[in-house]
Amino acid sequence: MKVSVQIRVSPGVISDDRPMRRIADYARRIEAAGFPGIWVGDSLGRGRPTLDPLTTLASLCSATDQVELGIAVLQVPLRHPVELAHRVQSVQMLSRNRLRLGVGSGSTRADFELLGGDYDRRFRTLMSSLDTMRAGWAGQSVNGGALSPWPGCENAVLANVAIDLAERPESASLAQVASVSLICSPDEARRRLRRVAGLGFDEILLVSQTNSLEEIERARDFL
Amino acid sequence: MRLSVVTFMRPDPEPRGRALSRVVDYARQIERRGFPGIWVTDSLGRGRPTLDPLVALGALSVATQRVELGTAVLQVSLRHPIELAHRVQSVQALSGGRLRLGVGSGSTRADFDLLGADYDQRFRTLMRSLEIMRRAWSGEEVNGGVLSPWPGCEGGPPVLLGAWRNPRWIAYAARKCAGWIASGLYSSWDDLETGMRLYREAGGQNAVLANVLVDLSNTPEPGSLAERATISLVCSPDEARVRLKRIDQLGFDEVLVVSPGGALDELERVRDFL
Repeated sequence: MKVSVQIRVSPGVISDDRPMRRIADYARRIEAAGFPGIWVGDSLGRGRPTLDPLTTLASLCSATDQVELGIAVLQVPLRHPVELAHRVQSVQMLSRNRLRLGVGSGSTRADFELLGGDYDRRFRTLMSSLDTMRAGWAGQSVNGGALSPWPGCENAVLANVAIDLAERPESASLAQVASVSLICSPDEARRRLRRVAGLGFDEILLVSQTNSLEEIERARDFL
Repeated sequence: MRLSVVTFMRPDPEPRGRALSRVVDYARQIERRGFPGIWVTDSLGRGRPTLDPLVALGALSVATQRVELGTAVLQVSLRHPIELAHRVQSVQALSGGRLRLGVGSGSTRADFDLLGADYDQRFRTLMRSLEIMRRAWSGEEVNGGVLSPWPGCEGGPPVLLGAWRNPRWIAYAARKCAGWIASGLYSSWDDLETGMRLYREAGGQNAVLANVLVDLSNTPEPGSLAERATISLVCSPDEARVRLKRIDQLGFDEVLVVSPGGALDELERVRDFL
């Protein structure tokens, strides 16, 4: 089972005018420590300041060289599918195809309400949006026009879409484990990690609230 | 008059995968050579591959340290204002406050058609969206919810309004925005004079002329933008010096120049004309 690192991007405890330095530094350390991927989440209406996931990954494109850059998971129904497809393609190009696009319906009503999105139709919207986005990436006609694919990105985007159709994140088909689950003793953490691996997950995304990479490395060594 | 650089991010014949380093190297060179800003454009339905401007500036936020990062101009009416406000705030935060947000209604129907947006309502949409975005950046309630401002980004970035010569929009730029952006692509000298007079009369302090193409060898490709642009420095060096002085004398505070071939030496030479 691969162990990757999920970053929770939040404002620093000490007011910093350059959050990018802190985030980029953490990303470089993750890459240097040999983790295969860096993942970010997606939320915007929940009473805490957040950064847009695609914008954040774009910034990590130039801070890192090899790691996969993922979103777990992008709330597709909140956005316009063609405009979103354009942005995804932009990150895919800038990352040299390192983008791993986890997509989902979203499950937090507050995010939908803030944007005036239709919460109750989110599963249907996800499916139709994915169809539209695939058509857009393939250069096919959408709305009578076409989103011109960036050369080299045509299929790379398509191949990396991981769909999370589950309503509750903890039962997601995309490997995703809440950080609370390893808030325990090292022995217990070892047992839990093995259990996740035993369930058959191919990859697990670990988050440290305090950006303690050493702890995540230690967890990786349990496997 | 300040002189900054616009970069058109287009694919080129280089092997795939070099695109990021090309974009990043160019941005770093612009910064190293002392230009105060790097600006990107916004289009998506016009038959050629493009990058999303805020995604591109996200990448440049970490690739550069000091330069201003601008959009000339972001087509606000194509996007959802609150979701856009969130993305704008993200670039503002990631760049350490270097974002300069040029906005406009958009003027190309193909972009609207591709997104199913209402072209005929674009001015009204822009006005309404700007108000919503300002409220969102201030942490005020929108749609019954709140977009939490990132610390240090409250109120949003400086917003500059792109407008041709419509008195109402130019007055809005003067009174409610941090600048007015005119375009060298399709304006006439008369348009610029008229616009500048309206802008100054309304109290405007920051007039920017965007998309001034530079080719001092005066060899534009037939049918290219460089050939068609109405106010450009696609001409001999002597003529370019005269035109640039004219732009300066019109009262512009900043000019955004583009070299279609990415020739920064030429842009530096143009800067030296001032």
